[in-house]
Amino acid sequence: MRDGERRLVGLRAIAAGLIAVGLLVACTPRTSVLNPRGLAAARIADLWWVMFGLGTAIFIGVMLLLALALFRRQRDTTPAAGRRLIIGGGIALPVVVISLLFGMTLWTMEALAARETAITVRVTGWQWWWEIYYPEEQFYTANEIHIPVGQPVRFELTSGDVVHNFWIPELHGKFDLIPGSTNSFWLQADEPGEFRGICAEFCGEQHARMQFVVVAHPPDEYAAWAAKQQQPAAVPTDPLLLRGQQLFVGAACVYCHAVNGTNANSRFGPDLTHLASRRTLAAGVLENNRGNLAGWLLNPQTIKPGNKMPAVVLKSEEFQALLAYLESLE
Amino acid sequence: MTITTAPDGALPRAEPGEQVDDDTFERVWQDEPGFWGHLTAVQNTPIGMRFIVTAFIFFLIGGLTSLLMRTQLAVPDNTFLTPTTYNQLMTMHGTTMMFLFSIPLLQGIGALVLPQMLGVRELPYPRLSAFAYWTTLFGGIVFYSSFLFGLAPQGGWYAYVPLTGIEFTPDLSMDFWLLGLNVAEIGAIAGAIELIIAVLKLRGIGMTISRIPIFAWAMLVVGGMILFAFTPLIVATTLLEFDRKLDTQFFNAETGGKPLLWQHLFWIFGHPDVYIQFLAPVGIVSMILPVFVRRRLEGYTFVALAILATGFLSFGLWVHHMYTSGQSPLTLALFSAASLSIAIPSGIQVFAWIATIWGGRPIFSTAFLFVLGFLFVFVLGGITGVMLAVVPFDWQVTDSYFVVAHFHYVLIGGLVFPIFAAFYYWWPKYVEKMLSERIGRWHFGLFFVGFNVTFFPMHLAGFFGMARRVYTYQAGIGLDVLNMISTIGAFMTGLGVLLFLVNVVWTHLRAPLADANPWEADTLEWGTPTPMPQYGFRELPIIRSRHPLWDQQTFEADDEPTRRLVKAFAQWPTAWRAQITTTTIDARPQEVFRVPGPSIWPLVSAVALTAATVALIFDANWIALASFVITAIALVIWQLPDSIAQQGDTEKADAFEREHGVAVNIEGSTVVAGWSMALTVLVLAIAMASLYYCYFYLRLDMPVWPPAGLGRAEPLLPGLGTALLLLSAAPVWWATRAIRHGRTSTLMIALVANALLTAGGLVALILALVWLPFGWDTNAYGSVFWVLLGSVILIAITALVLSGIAQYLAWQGRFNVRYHQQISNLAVYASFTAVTALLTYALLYGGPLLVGA
Repeated sequence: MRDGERRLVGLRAIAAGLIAVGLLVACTPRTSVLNPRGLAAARIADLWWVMFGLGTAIFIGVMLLLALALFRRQRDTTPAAGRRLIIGGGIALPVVVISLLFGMTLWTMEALAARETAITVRVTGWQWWWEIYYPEEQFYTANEIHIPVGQPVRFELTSGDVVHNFWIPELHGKFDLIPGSTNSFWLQADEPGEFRGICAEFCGEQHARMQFVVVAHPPDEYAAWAAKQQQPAAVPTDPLLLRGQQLFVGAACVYCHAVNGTNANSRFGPDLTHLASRRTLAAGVLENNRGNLAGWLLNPQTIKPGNKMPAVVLKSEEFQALLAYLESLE
Repeated sequence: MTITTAPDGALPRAEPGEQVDDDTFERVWQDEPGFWGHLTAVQNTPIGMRFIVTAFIFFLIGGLTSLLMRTQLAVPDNTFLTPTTYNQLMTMHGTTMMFLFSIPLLQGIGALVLPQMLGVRELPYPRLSAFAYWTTLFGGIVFYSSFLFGLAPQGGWYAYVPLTGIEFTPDLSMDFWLLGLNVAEIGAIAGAIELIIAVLKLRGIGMTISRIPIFAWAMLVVGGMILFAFTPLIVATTLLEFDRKLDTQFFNAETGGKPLLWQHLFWIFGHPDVYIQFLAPVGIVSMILPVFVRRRLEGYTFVALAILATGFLSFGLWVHHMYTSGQSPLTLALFSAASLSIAIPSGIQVFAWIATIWGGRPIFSTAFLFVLGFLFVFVLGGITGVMLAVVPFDWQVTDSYFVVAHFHYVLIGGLVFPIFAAFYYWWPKYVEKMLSERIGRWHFGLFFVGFNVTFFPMHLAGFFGMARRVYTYQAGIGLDVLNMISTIGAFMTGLGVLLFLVNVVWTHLRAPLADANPWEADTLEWGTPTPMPQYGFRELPIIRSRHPLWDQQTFEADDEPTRRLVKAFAQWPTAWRAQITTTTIDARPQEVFRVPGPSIWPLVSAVALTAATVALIFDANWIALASFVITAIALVIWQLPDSIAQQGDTEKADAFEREHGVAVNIEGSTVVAGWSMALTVLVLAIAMASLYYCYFYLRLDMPVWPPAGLGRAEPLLPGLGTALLLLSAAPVWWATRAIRHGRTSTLMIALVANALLTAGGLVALILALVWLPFGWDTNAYGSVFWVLLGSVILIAITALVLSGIAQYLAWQGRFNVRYHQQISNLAVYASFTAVTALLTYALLYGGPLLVGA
């Protein structure tokens, strides 16, 4: 028995070690459900901490009881005692706990129920990028959502192809994008910042590389951003940029992409009107800079195999002109 | 408390001198020799073993896929696997573990252990077991052969549409998945029917309902759950296959179909499936744990009811996999409450085990260590499971690695730990060697620690935004360390499994023959000698306790008639495999019957069914049709009663029946036949109910129903067909009554009337179908209409075939007062056909009128 005792102590030490490692990792700041920056995520995090406390207490309690049962000296017991344990631990305890949790569930759901919003963002999932449309302001963008801080924003989700799932861990839980129907919810950021957005439903080959960025601004900054997005792309005057624009509208790019203010208006791929103002390329995969943009244009199938973007094949100087034009789309 | 344990092989066996023809008895219960014998074997022991070995090989393959995936995820932005390969492995891993490992393994343990644990010789329907095994094996092979064609599926184990539809997966990979699984699922349903009848009707004399071992309770509930869960899955996979191959529109949002319909159908299966996978293992825990603490299970009734309650509740929880799909708050609240409530039956079992340990004296053998490991892991997984029932929290962590961690805690905790405990526990009885305790401890240690190191950090990875099923992740977002730890843990776990294999090989070579009851266990399988004869018991034990080997000094009956029956049954019949069915509640002898012996036809029908499936994958529709016909013929041939083995058996049967007052059915059990017909009808009824569900779900939120622009389906002709089918059942019922009173003269007339009415109804319905003014590919309404009416036609065709078989047997003069089960079964089936036709007709032709479209 002493042998078994030692083993169990060992096991518990390992478990404690695991938890310690976990907490250590948890201390570093990052995208995390436990690091809420918005009203909904904060409410859910509160829910988690209550459940974590309860769950830990119950788990340790049950394990201690088990250890006691295993190693107690006294061995006489009556069937009545066993029945008391089963009724107390197996029925009464769960009934109390789940009643509490159910109450908290309803309470939190009530707090997150539909409410009045001034801003709507319509998100359409595509393999493997996000089409973003602001119906009130009437402009498109892609893979990047801007919202004002401190205001509830309504999201309307649908899909153009397969089922996707929309998740911003620091702001709210997940919601599905399902073809043929619209799923809506609201969220609110409580402080400015950039948050990572993720597709959480398996949607095919590049599910892992279907991400987006959410930027929360103070309201005036947000208004400025929205005003800018409503503008068409600036008409280039520089000859290099002009050449780039000609290449863009004259090449296969226009079959999929739109640049407001030119005759490129396809919605098959991401809208590029203000491409250069965005933080990432290829749906949250690459930082948006000249080198990455060039790399993406030349090797989209290496960076994100299976996506619908073909490699751009141009002569070197033409490629530079196109690159410069795209870089100018602020 | 003192416990007396029966010494080795202490159950009463007939004295050598009394035995009339020992050799015949032994020979009859042996499988045929040689390779042919392997193909025709139907005995529960070899079939159970095959299930277990096959499932364990799939477990090893599934484990290897997970090691490959963990290697890919060890470091960020890894390129060890391509995205496609990763997605294929992820799909194969989930599918293998859910369909080819867990269910077959549990059915295998059930088939292997149940008969002797219940104190009988064999399962009720051994050829069905053999068929279940072959279909499971072939389904798995078809599924894995997709690798050979470079067409491994990559849609995930729950295969959400439209990703898995023809538009986004145009190659054949999903067809391998859907059709391969269909074959394996048919095996699961066949096995479930077998286990249900075994527990209800084939228990030892005296094993009343309150003496049934918990494992048998669990297998009974699991069997029922398989019928109710796997049938909707077969419906779902068939509909998706129709969408892919025949252009039906069930899941196409553009033509009135609903992608969410797939999710509902899948999780109506998927959620109970998860509970199936841990209910049977917790049943095993309730058997093993008491043995190693030398104390009866506390709260037997509580535990049995908890298992039953879990089974029922599990069918009301499926939406908790769909909290993020946009359900109404009321729906969410309801399913949240139901999901939370599962904590009660689980809690009851955990505390019953702790209470049992509380009063016992634990022996820390490897099997018991795995039970303790199970308790640790399962309680933790259960707690995170309760958290996931809380809707807003689920929104955050569902589809993330938190959920990956949770379900591995529940499934590896609730399934794999108990399975290893079961291996260490039952190994000496069925493999006849003691597994090494020393290697076993290392196996447990590595597996337990490795498991926790792998999966505990995943909770945090989920919190930090690691979505499920990603083939890679960026560096520097907090996932690097966690994933590296998980990968190290995965290889530790793998090493643990490797040690188990070492243990198996080592002890196989070295260990001596094990004792008959090395753990001093309480249940009857330990009362057989080691090696166990195929039949387990020649003289059936009489059961007077829940723990017969602990409580009973003798296994002879108290009363003289039963004692004489048991003695006589040990001596006759010996020329064929015989069993006794008992009454459901109080387990009194009901019927002596002949169990079907070895046969090649289960294999033939499984091969033909598989051939049909492969032909369907490659669009060779005529070959498929031919193979289906062969399958049907093989199924019929294997059901036909064998000719009577020996001269004079009928006279002996009559004499036995007169002397002991127990019916003797040389041609096969009427009880088992009746039950299997009832369960078959149940399965078909569940399938039809699933299709009705589809109809109503597609109808939901449709402004116009039927959709505008469709021609009106003419109600008269199908109405006539339905009426004929309604009438067709009547003559069979009349014939059943007549034959019970010994009148066989009018039997042929009744059967011919039945056949004519069925055929007439069939013709009318087929004409109604082909004259429909819309195709199945017009829109979802057209699809569901065609499929519902087509299902009724298929059911009516089988009714006609059954009628034909009954006529053939009647023409041969097989039926008499005592033996006429085919007639009673036909009556049941014809009535089912009638009811189905009526309901479907009312729904299809009356439904649109009622809802006022």
